[in-house]
Amino acid sequence: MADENSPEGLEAFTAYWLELFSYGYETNDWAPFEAVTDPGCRTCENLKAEVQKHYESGGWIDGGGISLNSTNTEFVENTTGSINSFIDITQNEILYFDSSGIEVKGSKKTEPVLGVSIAYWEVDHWVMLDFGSPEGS
Amino acid sequence: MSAALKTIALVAFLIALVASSTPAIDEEAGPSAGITESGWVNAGNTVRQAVGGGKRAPTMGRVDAQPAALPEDDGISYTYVRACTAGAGSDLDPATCPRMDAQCDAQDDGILVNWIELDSTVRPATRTPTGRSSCMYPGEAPAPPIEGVEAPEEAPIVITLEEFQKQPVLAATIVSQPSNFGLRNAHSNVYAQAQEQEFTFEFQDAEIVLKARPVSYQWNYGDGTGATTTTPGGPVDGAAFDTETPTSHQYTRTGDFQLILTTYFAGDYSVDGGPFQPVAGEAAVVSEPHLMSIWRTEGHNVSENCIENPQGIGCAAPTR
Repeated sequence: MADENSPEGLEAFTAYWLELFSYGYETNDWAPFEAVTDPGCRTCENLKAEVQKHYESGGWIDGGGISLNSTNTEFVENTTGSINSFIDITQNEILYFDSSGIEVKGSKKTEPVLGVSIAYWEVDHWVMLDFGSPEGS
Repeated sequence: MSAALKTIALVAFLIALVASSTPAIDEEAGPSAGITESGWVNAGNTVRQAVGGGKRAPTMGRVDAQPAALPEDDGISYTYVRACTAGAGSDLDPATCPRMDAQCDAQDDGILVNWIELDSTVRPATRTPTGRSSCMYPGEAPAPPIEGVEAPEEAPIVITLEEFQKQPVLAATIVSQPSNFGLRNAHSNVYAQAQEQEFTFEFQDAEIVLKARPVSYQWNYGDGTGATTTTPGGPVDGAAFDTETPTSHQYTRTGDFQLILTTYFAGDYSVDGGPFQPVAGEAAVVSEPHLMSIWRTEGHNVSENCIENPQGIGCAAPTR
């Protein structure tokens, strides 16, 4: 359904996209994520860079999966032709292990967080343009 | 001003934002990839960046022959709708509005609104969401997004970790049970008492309110081992010899050990009463060393007390 240009399709795509994001945390494999994410998404780049930095130092990450609690979209194209949704998400506990397997840092499971996602229907598939907190907040 | 030019101005603004908020992640505290940490930034309405033959998102398609002309009435105006009710139709979850409006916490009763572009150069006039949102507070007219794009001439005031570390953040107090004693190989309960703290100071002619909250605890037990916990731990009931807790430790040798605790504080700051935003990185505050005196136990059966037999076992001063 994530390949449909409809509100339901966008919601399915958003859930799928968050799964790819979570997959990146666990594996540091960002190819599937980047394939459907615009490089202009600064939150994505920031978080990805932190995860990559940790893996590059020889460590790994357990957890960090982001789940989608609910979405809310008008499904109307904005001035640049993309679609805004408000998304309610929760991120699981993140455990950071160093190269010798010692847990060096952790962050707890978050409370539900309100974010905005901006997606663009590109010919035959969705692309995530931006993801983060609502402007003005 | 043409829509295309506005888009360029918006993109330029976003780039300027990226450049100005250099995230000074503290090396010691380590990076953080949590969504609620510093990496989580505003999502704005941008155009698709051309990668791998990707098409640009359609813009409004109007071309202005004199892009340098002064702004004039171009028939474009802005209006707003409440974000939580927009698009919800008749099945609005009662929790949606409080959840969304909680983002606007600079004052009471803040409301998150979405901006709509009204184009009256065409008949009938069109309404197009701009993809931008902002907070509206009682008694104040919210600023349309266009002003937000053109206004930011001053660099935003950013409180760095360096500034955060200059604040007199009170270190955590270390408590161990019972008193400063523990038994070899038993779980000795130690825990931290750290407080959320608030500081007000002047920085670049602005009044900064900085809130520090403890987020993690790095324990150096003084016996060559250590651990990092996100919980401060807490007291346990009773005599508390040998009770395992998230922060307890098993000493494998007897002796006196200096326990050193480093507490990491996350900071959130507000500039001139504005919204709170996180400081990139965490401030490390070291507590006073705490003495842990570790003993071993030895059991014997006796038939006399120490008054009857002062030379009896356990009647002399203890040795390790």
